[in-house]
Amino acid sequence: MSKIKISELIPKDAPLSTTDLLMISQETPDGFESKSITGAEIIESAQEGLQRTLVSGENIKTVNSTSLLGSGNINVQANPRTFASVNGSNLTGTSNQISASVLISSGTLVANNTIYIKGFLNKTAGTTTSTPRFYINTTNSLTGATLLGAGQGMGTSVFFQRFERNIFFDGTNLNGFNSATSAANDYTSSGITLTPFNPATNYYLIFAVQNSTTTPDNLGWKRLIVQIYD
Amino acid sequence: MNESEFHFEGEAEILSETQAHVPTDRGVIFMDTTMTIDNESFNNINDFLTKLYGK
Repeated sequence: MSKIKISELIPKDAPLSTTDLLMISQETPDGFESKSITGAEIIESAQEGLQRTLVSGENIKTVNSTSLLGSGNINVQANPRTFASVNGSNLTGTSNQISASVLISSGTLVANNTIYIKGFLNKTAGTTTSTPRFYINTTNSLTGATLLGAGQGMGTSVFFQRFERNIFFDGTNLNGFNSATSAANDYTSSGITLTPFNPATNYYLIFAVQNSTTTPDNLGWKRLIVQIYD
Repeated sequence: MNESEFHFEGEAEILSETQAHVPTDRGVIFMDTTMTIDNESFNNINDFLTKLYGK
């Protein structure tokens, strides 16, 4: 084996590949001792702790089958946006009481937004009429709250009701289905109820229940989802 | 009109012994006997409404 200084080795003049083999021999009293390292080992050592090259769908996920690689923006659908999903309490007693409430923070609502409320009501026992209502107030209290509407009264063996409302904000008032009409949803025509609303103030949407007799009637609002449409 | 000024419209709806819906020009307002009128407290909603409507 001829002796060549490392500095005198002929450059490969091409990128290191995994199949390359670098071998170095050292002179020993018994002859030569050879040591080698593969191109793959050098590459692996050099890349240790570094982020691997991103390959869409392989080591970086896609959004709705769209690659995240490259420059630019991907618009993510945010209309409607859900800002509350709450489970109310089933309550006994004959007074009007809060089952659930949702805070609408100041600045959340702007002109031409629509609040969409969906949920359901259930009770597990009782035979007399229970009434669901919902209100808005600047505190989380029924006292002084403004009535926004009422669901259908639930009597005898009516233990379940699907509930929906759309409320448009015109910049000054909340525009909603007639609050004096008890209905499970607003998929029909009615008078309009205009409720003053200041978007710079915190408000609570308050969902209340009232039973006509006490235990075992136990109406409650369930899985209330409140969304805003731009 | 002042923002805190309400004009009554129509008859109140009594919900329970202590609660009622009071129609106003700014919507139907829930009122109960935890509220006072001129620092006067009430034990039942009928007395409260009588005072409220000035009857």
